[in-house]
Amino acid sequence: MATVTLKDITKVYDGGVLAVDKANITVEDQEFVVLVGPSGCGKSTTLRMVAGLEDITSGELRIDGKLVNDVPPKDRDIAMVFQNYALYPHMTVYDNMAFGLKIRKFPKDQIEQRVKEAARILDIEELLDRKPKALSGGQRQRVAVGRAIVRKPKVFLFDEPLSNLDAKLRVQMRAEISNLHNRLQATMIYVTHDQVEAMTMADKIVVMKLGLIQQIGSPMDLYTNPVNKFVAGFMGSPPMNFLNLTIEKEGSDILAAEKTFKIKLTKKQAARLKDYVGKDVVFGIRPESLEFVEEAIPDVTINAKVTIIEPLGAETHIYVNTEEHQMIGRIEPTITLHIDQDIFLKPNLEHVSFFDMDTEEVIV
Amino acid sequence: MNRDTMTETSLPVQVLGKFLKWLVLSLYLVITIFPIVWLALSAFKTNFEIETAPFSFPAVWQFQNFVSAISVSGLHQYFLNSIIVAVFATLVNLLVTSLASFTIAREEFPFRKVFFTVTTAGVLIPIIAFMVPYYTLITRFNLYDSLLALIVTYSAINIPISMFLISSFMTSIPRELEDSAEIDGCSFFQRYAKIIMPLARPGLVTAGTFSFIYCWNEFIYALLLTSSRSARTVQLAIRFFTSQFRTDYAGMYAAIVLTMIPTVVVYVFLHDKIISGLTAGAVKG
Repeated sequence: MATVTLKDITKVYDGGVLAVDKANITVEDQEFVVLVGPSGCGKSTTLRMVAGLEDITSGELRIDGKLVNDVPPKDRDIAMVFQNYALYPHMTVYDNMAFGLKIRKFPKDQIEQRVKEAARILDIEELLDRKPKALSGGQRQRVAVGRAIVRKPKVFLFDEPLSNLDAKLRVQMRAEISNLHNRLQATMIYVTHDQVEAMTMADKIVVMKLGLIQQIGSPMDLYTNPVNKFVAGFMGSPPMNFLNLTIEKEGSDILAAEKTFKIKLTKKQAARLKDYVGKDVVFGIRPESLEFVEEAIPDVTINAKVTIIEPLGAETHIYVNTEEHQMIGRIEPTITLHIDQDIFLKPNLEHVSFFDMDTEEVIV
Repeated sequence: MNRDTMTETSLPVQVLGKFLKWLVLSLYLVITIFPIVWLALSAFKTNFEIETAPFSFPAVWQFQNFVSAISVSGLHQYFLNSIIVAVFATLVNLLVTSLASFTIAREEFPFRKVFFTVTTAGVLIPIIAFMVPYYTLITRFNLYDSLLALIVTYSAINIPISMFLISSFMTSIPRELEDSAEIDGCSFFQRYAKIIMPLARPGLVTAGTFSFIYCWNEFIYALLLTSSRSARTVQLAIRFFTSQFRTDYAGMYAAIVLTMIPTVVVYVFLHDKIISGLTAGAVKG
């Protein structure tokens, strides 16, 4: 298996569109790295540059230390799984999986052995004689993965492979790809716009926006210590709540205030935010960090009115309105609330973030 | 109440509409089929019958018309020439246009669109306009009065329409398939031969059928570029039934019926694929 290193990788399309701007990523051997971000963030372009399907405008791409900028895809020893499967419609499942090996002139018995082994791993042995049009979406995706496995490449590349599947199948295939990674101990780069996929599958996540890498880190690192408002809002479902609050000073205390409530900040937060007194900042809090309490506590709780209740069984999501904002909270299903009820939510200040209004970078 | 009234008033209109539609279609069918049926029936008559009772059935079915059509005019030789010309011109045409279409559909190079537009714009130019240049070129290359002259000319004349059909078909093939093939290790020609060609088959069949039918029916260039029996095609053979003083209509009609058979057979066997080729890309596959 292999390492993949991107150093200052830039892609500018004809017409001057900057798709990827100086991306620096190191994918360690056997690591599962997920590139995540909204449409047009450059994640697929980055993956296609690793695959060799897009030219690199500038920067260095190394696989196993070897510079591969100008190496054609077939000589990079990579395999790729595409969003729309890209199975050859005129070939059977067996031929689809064997195609790459046939082109590389592998002996027939070795091809057969590899295809059958991959088919067994993916539980598609029954489908080998079928054409792709006779397969369901999930089966097609398995074949596409199988086609990559048989090659035993240095690096696996996945370009939104689960996007075309329904929700249930997506969850199932997600687990299967994770299992496959554990089983093959392969280096994998996976592109998705779904942060849940990123969180559940990745060893390391690369969050991208408008061609720029925002943050690289482990899933929990990104979740708990986002570097900016974009990363904070992108990771997590339901997303982080953002409230524009004014920083005030009362005596020796520093508070973040809205019209109808104030929150006294911790010493660490107060120290970082003392320069922001009189200014607005973005207060970010995740739904699970809002605790439902029976009574108002001055300078601690947020006053809000319930607008929507979504019971999910294991937990309940509540949409609440404060005087100026809407928030989502995640509460125990045993707590009974009703629409228009006035409630009090106590933020867990150990798990909140403050962002600069202008730069949107994290303050604390 | 309103709904009932609407139904009552719209029903006769619907019936009338259907009647008119079928009437127009039936008339069109009769107008289209009639000359062919008349020709086929006349091919079994004597010359006297054709002149005296043009719309009657044959009194006695004259099968020997076909035998004499072949023996008198040497139709079998022209038939063979036509087959050679049509098959090879179609193959050359498909090879050239499929490679060109693949390149135009997939590769980025300067003036790509201009090249495509100029090439396909040939559809709009009457082929008679090319008579002088083609004659000059063919004689200059010492190809006059050879099957090769017709093969080259016909394959070139059909390039615009074939390019138009095949390139639109190739454009509709998902690019990921080629990306996938590239990663699987295919070279440019392997992608063309192993992925694109099989998938573009309906487009190729459509273009090939049009090309074959054109080559088979072509008259003007065959007359212009050939002079001897060894190079002339079946459409020219039909003329030999007409002389200055007499025309053997029965033999001529029998020969025409024989010449129609290959194109009809080609169309009947391939019309499903032709229709799918023409409508390719209309809906997401």
